[in-house]
Amino acid sequence: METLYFIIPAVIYLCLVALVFLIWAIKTGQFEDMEGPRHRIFFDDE
Amino acid sequence: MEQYKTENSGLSIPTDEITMPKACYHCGQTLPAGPFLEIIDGKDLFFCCQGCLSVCKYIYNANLGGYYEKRNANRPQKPPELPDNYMAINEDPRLVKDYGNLKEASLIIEGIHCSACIWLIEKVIGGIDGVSSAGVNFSNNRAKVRWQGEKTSLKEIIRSIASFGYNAIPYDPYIIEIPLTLKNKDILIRIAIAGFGTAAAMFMAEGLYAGYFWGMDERLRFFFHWLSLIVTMPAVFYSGMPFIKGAYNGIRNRSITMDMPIASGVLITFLYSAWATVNNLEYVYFDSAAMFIFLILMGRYFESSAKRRAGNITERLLSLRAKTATLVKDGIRKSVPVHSIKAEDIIEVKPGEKIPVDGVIIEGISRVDESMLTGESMPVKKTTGANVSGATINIDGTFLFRATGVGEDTILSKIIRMVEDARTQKAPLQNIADRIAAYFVPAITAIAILTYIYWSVRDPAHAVLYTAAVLIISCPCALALATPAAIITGTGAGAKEGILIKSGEVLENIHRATHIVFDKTGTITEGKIGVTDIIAAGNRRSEGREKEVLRLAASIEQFSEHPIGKAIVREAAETKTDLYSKIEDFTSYSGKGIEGGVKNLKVIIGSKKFIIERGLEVTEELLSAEEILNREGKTSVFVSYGPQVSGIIGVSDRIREGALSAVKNLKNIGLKVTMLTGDSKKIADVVARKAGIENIIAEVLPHDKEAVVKRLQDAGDVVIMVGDGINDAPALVRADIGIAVGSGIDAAIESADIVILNSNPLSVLNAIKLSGKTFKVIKENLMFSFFYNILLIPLASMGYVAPVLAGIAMPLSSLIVIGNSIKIGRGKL
Repeated sequence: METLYFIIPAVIYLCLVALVFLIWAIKTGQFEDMEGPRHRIFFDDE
Repeated sequence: MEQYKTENSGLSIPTDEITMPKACYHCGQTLPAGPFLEIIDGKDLFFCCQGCLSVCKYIYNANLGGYYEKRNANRPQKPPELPDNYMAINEDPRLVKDYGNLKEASLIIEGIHCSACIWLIEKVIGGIDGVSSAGVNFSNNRAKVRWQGEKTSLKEIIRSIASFGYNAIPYDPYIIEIPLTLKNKDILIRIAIAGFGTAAAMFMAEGLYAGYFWGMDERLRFFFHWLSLIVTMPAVFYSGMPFIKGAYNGIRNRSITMDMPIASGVLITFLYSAWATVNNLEYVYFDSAAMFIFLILMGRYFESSAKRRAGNITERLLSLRAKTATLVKDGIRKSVPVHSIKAEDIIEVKPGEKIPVDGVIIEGISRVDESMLTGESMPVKKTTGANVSGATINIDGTFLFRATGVGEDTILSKIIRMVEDARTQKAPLQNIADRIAAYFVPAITAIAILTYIYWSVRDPAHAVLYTAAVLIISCPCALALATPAAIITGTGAGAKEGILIKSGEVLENIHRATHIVFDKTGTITEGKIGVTDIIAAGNRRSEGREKEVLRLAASIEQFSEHPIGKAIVREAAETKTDLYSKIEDFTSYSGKGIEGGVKNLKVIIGSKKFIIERGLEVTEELLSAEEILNREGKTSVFVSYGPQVSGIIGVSDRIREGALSAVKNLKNIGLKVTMLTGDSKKIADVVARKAGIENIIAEVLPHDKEAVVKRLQDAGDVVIMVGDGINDAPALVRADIGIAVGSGIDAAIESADIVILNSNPLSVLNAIKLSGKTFKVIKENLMFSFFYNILLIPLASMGYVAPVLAGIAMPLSSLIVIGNSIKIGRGKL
């Protein structure tokens, strides 16, 4: 049972990392164009 | 097809000897000094870069070489010419942001069809010397370009894009886009944080519930409570801040909205739980508080996304204005920006150009497409002395005019002002949930206070717990979700049918309407001219001869730009009529008629007057046919072949299929139906009779349509206005509910509450039915939520509801409401 005191905060911490990453993605506009990138990947011919 | 493969396509295929083409075989761009040469499929081909070369090789290796032939065949002969006055685009600081040596502009790109267009545009812009970055957003067809000011210019960039057949219009992103994007981002971040808090608090709550039934180590429980408190705090105080602020403003302005119960529910749940945590009590409800915020924010996000797509009406109207004009001064023609034109300036307008400002023609004859102002599809003939309006389109003649109305005095500016006035004067539709909130909050507060007073006398130790149970049970989850859940599914179901509903309030209010007003053109009728009758000369009806009349007319009219001509050609294509391939000596007599030779005989097409002028005789029988067509509000086009008049083609704005049954059904559900039009009473009567409409208001000037709607409203009607043109925009805004019909993007669509994309009149009926269905579900949801509260609040205030039960009942009630709402999307409308 004692491990819970360690594991749960650890899980929350991991979630927090994901959250920070998600907020970064929103702020840098990753969700603004949901159409273009999936087409554009085929066109990078440089 | 042959003609498209000529030199000037820029994509010719070198054959025997090596001749150096001008453009890259793959991408069509100008070849650099040292092009890449490769022998592919036995041909010497030139490329601008290794990338194009590899792609081409890959295509041939996959046996897809036919792609190039097909592509070249479908390619327009030459890229559209850039209008001269495009060169007058200036680097206005509102459009071009200056970052020292880097400049940035946002462009709306017209003509994007597929992802390949995006690739092409990015490549075109990116290939310009001095451009440092270029990105096209596929979702909204907008591009952002950055370039070095000393190496290239905005003009150069727009010219390059235009040379590939796309139109680029610079716009100010601070007006349309950035505020909405920021708002969307803000909501998304709040959702992310609320979601994190909800997930974390929920999984700990599961452990706590298990502990409630099977026992739990008190230290662990204490630990869970504190952790939940910490993860929920940002969800409540950051994600929930808009609701808390809204509630605070509501109190200050003495108007209670739904924000109030949301904020109080969340705050009370959270604060009680925090208090319980600090005092190490048994029950906390952090998960409920966080989940509640998460769900409500999701609803707001959907709403804001819908608005973002809609854009800003005033901005759209402004974009209709011409940007530049050709000023004639002392015999010299000069391209100038529109805003620099003053009254009394002389301006030249060429065919195909937008008329920049309002004025009076002083020289020349032309026809002008005024449909954007008047809604009428027929071009209007204008000669010396006629008034012309800014933003309308000149069709076929060149003329000079003297500017009379500029800037704020043009008709378009007046329409923009009318839209804005109507908008500010219109009482906002009332949201049912907000109306209920006004009673709900005081009632619950009173019950909670009474509960506390009662229990602090009877059993002081439990007074706080029981009071908290009342407040938590009454936390208006179901109430707050009742409307948004139904509206989200309702708008979703509408979108599938091509009915876009801009706000939930509209869906809640259509069912109150008593009167529906249709603007004739474009809603009851198709809004463009079509062939209705073909009458061949000779007493007997004969399909073969009628077909011949159409064949002759369409063969000649295919060279005409006139809308009637286009309608005849369209009719021929629809009925699969073959056209004569050899037409000799095509001549057009502006505004009168056209002629051309078929098989050595002359075909003359035009009005009765024109035909008689040309010395042809019209038989008695055809004259009476014309008389009938005339009475039905149709225009007669006479067609002659050789010495004889071979028939008449009747054209008019045709009534839409489904108009009659839509009107009948609308009457059946108890609506008064009225048709509004700028046309003459005669034409209006004919159309109204066919569509089954008795009330007609004809000969209404465009800017009076709004006044008509207002008059009906003053008489006590709740009015739905159905329209399509920009001229309808003020009326659409003025009406209680505005419905725009049509598939294009234009100002009418922006000013309407509901947009119907498929232009089927029955969709108007479906939209109304959908609203009724949604409203019914909202009522059911509210009934359920009341039932739940009326049942459980007395129990809670008597101390019978165990806190864990309250914690389970709360999300359950939300789920029931959501489940009930899903049924709107099921079944037929």
